[in-house]
Amino acid sequence: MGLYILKRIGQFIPVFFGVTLILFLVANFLPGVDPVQMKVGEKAVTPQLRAEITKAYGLDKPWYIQYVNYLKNLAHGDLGNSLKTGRPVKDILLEKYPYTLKLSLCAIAIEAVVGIGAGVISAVKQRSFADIITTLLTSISVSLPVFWLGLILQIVFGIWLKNVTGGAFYLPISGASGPLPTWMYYIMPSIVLACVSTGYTARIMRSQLIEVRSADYVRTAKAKGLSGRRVLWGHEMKNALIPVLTFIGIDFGVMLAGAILTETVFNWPGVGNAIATAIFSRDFAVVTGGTTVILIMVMVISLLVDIGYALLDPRIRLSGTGE
Amino acid sequence: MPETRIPSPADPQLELDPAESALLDASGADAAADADAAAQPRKSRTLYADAWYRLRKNRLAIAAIIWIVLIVALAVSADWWIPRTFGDPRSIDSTQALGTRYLGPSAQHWFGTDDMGRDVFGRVAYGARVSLTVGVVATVIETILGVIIGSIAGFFGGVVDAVIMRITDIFLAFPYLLFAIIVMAVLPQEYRGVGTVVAVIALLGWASTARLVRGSVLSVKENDYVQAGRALGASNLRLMFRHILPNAIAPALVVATMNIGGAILSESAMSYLGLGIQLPQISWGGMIDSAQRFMMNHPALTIYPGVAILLTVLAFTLLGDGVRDALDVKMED
Repeated sequence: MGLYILKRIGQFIPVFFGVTLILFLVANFLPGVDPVQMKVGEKAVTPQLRAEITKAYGLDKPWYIQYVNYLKNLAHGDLGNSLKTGRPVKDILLEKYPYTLKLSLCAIAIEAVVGIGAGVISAVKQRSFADIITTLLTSISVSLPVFWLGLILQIVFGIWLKNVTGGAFYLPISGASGPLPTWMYYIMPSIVLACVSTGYTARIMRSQLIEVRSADYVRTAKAKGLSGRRVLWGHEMKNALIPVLTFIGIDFGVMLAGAILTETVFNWPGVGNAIATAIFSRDFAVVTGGTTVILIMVMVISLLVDIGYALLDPRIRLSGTGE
Repeated sequence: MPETRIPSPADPQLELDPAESALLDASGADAAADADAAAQPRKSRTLYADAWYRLRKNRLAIAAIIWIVLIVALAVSADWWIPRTFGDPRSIDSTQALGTRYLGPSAQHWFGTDDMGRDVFGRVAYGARVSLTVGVVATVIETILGVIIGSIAGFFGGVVDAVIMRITDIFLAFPYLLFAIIVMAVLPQEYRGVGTVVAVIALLGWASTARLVRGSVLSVKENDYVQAGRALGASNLRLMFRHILPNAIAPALVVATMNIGGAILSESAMSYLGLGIQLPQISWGGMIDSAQRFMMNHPALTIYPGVAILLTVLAFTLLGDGVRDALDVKMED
């Protein structure tokens, strides 16, 4: 298994450099992008200012030197300063991240419970009415534009059902103040954030469980006279769950990244919203810094998930390589 | 990595995988098809004729096709009748605008009018043009790129394969939407538009197709008929196009069908954030973005374009499921 983990880390390294390189090139060398302008935001660039900035940031150096400098800054946690407020981007992100993290955790909980539940029901009762409804619902949930779902929930619960909900459900959370207990403000954003992934989780759970149910060892277990419930939880789920858990794990990383739409719609004070706001105010330091951090987190989480997968799957745990 | 099982012409009769066709079965079509096959000696059909036969029995897939045909017809025919019937939804008639704002649905304006007095049905029709164009063009480009790159990796193997796969790893590591957003964000506004949206989606989307095609090329190239072709002295190109690709392409077709929906979703999200299609060009995401300002008093304006996105993307998802079942491709979601 040590070998497997080493190999996986070996794969991580080129991906890490590739991703950061592409990000760096996009932010500095894409046609139409003026890196000097990006350092000052909306301010007009005079030739003198241009010369100063070019010198200060080493923009006249060849691209690979600039890339190495960028990596050095990254290693020191230096993501530059916000063009609007002058605050270090690192501080802004540290302040916003807990909100994104909490929201993602709620969404992951919904995804795991509802997704796995729906997948198991439709696999066990294959071809039943419940299966058809579940399949249709999961198809809808993976086809929904999430930002629109957020708006619709706001319309329904915040406007149409105002008498019931007090109209407070669509409000952004604003610290401790607000007419409802804080946890209630998590309900709608986490449902919206979880929606698409829940559909995928259910689809994967269903197809995995159906595949496992035709395996020989399941037939053996049944032949031994075990009850359907014990076969399901003791034998089938044990194997069918592994890929599903892997998906959910990787999805957690993607959620930290994908929360940008949900956070924008609900005005959630997280990283995604900070990036979206920065896009509109042309605060590129926050945009690129925030994106870089999210991308690195996504990569690290998927590395950890893969290592976790190795621990869970006896074929890899015992054989060493998994191939 | 998606696991694929490739139907090959060698299979005398492609059986429906029971696990994959619950919906199909629910309509009773499966049994009917089997009985049909048993009752009369079957004319030999090609793989795709066979698939089409099975697709026709899948009611959800047929509903999806009907919706797609309708929305394409609407998009294509818009210029001929929409401006004449409902007033031009692309321009603001300043003499009329104040009087015709926020009208409810009527025979005159099927979905009512928006904050500028423009016909909402007409705007949905013109939005369909953008969404379908982006969805189809981006998917065609990414599929072609993915098939070429994936088959090169699978066919040649070795170092070529290793290098290509490391590059796809890099592209697969990007959360799709996030990367699209950052590219569009750093681009100056005048660079944003249909062209860049298509380019960004295609540039990010090819990697998963490439990986899929590589996998199926790898398994197909071991088949006896490929070895026979090679032994007879067929060139690499001939082997690739005559023998391997026709049998390895099925999973790519399934994924391409679903990707059209995915591309439409990405475009709408970018346009909603103001990074995709720019005003005055009409897009569904952009319509939702402007409508949400009047959401409190005129929620209907938010609902129409969203339903259009949902139904269109859903149609491509269901059609993709149907094509997967019909071609009998096994893949993990």
